[in-house]
Amino acid sequence: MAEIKIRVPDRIRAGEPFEVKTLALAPPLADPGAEFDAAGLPIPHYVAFEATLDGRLAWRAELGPGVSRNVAIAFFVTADKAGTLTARWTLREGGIEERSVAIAPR
Amino acid sequence: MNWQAPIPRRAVLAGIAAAALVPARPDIAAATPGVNGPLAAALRALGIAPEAVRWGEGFTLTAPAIAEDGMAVPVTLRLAEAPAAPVQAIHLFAPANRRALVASFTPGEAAGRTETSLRIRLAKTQTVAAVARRADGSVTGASAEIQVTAGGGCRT
Repeated sequence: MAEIKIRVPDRIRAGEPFEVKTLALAPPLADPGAEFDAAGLPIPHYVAFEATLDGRLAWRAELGPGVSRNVAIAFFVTADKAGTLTARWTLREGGIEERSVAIAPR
Repeated sequence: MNWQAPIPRRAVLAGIAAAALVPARPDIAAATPGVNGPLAAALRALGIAPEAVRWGEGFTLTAPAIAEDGMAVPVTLRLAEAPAAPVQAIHLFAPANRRALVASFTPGEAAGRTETSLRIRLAKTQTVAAVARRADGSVTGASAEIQVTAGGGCRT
């Protein structure tokens, strides 16, 4: 379980865009050289990000070696009613990290 | 004191005005990459003709002028909303990195705004660029120069 944070505003208004900030920390490296492959390119820990609101896509990102090791992505969502925002990070080594946060617009 | 050839006031003012005008749009000047170079190659690899990109149209790329740390430089991409031609894909490039394509974004139907922030790695000082493809087939672009010195570049 990697350390992952998702932040949504305290107050969300129905139908109005709000910013969602996410930070997914990559686990510590066994040795500093492990960050780069044989060609010297950084090896990303996370290769894709996807956020959905009750199954509807909100934001998707394909992450290459040019993205910081700890992945910080912010994006905007509009919710008309209460729901669940789910964020999913795909790991390069296979598998996913998933976190959900309840959205309650007023 | 005897001024042999006084500098005409009008010429001085014109010079100042010209000097002020030239660097006034560095973003536009830097934002018009040629059809050669790593950015053009990266665009072509994604099936985007570099000549077709309209730079600066309803698209802004916000980034620090000087990066504190080349390992994690915050950039923000913001696109004007156009309901008739929603954005289908956004690609972010760091042309001086060995892998020019940094990330690709897909806005979904639940997206509130076509805006996103991401922290990226930069190998050295360069002009970072982003292009967005809309549903009507148009491609817009934005760019920003980022100095990478203090924290050192990242081996990207």
